Amino acid sequence: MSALRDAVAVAGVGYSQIGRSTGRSEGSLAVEAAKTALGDAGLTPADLDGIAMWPDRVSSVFEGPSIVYMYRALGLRDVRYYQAMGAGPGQFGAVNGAIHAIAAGAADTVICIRAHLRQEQRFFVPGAGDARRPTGDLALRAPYGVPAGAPRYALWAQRHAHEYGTTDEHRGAVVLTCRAHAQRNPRAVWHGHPLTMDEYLASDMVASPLRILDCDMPVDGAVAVILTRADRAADLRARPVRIHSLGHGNGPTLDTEYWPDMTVMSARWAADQMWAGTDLGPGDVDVAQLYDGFSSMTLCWLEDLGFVKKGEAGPWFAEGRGRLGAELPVCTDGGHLGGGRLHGFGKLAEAVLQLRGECGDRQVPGAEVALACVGGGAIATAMLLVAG
Amino acid sequence: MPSPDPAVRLEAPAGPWRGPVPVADIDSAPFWAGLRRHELLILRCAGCRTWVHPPQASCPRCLSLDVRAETPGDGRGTVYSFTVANREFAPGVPPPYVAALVDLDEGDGVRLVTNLVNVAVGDVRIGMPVRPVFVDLELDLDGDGDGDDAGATLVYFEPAG
Repeated sequence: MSALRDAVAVAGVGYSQIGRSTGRSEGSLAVEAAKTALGDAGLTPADLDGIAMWPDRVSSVFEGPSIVYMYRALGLRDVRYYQAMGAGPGQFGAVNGAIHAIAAGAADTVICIRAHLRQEQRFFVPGAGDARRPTGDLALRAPYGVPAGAPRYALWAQRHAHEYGTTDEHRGAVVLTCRAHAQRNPRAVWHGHPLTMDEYLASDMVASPLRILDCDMPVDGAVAVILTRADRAADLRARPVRIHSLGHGNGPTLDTEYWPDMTVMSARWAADQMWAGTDLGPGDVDVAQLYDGFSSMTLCWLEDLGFVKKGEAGPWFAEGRGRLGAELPVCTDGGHLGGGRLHGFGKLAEAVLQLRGECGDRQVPGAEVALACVGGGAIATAMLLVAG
Repeated sequence: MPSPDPAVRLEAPAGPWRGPVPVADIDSAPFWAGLRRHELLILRCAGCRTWVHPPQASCPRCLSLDVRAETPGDGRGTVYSFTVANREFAPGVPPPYVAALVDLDEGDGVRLVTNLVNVAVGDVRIGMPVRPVFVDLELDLDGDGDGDDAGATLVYFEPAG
């Protein structure tokens, strides 16, 4: 049995203000999220002995406050464990590291933070020099207009469509599922803006087969999650949620473009590892926060997790089976497509809130087992959480 | 921005190049130098003959450090996947363009990221046979108006009939 099984619990979660243009700094958002999470857990910064952040300014294509900034901003002292990760299995690199550290006894209580501003991410790489003079692997694809984002994952989506007949309406069904759920979440950036299939189909194709509405919505925002030893969680303010099983294995390569079979994501390997660490199976899951940086990834996650066979996720969503009240509610907060891009930390926070029964209009009644899945293409983390 | 007309024919870039200009490093230098001579050169293990791409210092199969540039036959390949891009995702690479992954016929599945040219947008298909087209970029990196001696060449692909 995995040493990680039920060893770590989520003590608290916190969101910052989330919006299209907050006018605030990443640090301001990050501190707000951290304060909210500390309050949720009933802890103070003095109770933290670890901090983990994604992204980091050094190795990531994304920006964020540096870990030096946040250590100072939170007034941390005597921390036993810290890391900032830009790469790693999905955007959960830092979270996974914190889980491992706590399970190994290297730290007791670690705050994990993601903060980001909605700035134009047009191919800039902080600290990596001139965007017009790419080096390394980037030099092999940037001149061909495949630097980041939609064109990279459109290549995966196109191959999936080619082999399995995935249609625009299938991807649209994911987008509409998320948008419908966003109407029940006041924090969601698309709250108050419902969407029809005709409107989806009329939206711009940005990198075929992906439309602009297949891409998650960039927002300013931060999420903080506090992890602690499971045996300590019972003493905290919030109802504890255990990290029951974790998978972040990878398959044939870490390269997005050189992945051999683009109809199967790294999610397959992460899912296999996660399922191997539990006696639970897909039929036990009450609610699934699947990554939706692009709608095509959500289809693949459902398949790669084993809920349906390859090629069946599109019809599954089109039949409404991922909606609240249906068979397996997916992206109940509106996901990143409907709620705003939080790089997976929103998946974990929403999974926790569902298992605590705190989701109001979007609550899945009696939810006891939740998935939080992050990443797409060649990167993935799959996490199974249980209440209590 | 509406999707490009399927009849729009994609051409190799002409005129001053304002897009990203690849920077060679010690591992990738043979690849880029080959393109300058209008040759497609891929690294290959001198020991076990495994093709190695993207360029790196060693063979992923036997870990030999003796990898050397070699021509993978006539450089023809097959489109593994593609996307019709309708935004300027990289500065200086104007839409529309078709980004594609091409698996070389000879070269054990070596895959190149490229653009397809000399084809109408609506005619691009997965599985389409293609062949390389070498395009010398018109550069003026220092902005003095007289071009750059060093230059750079990209490899595009076109339908191979």
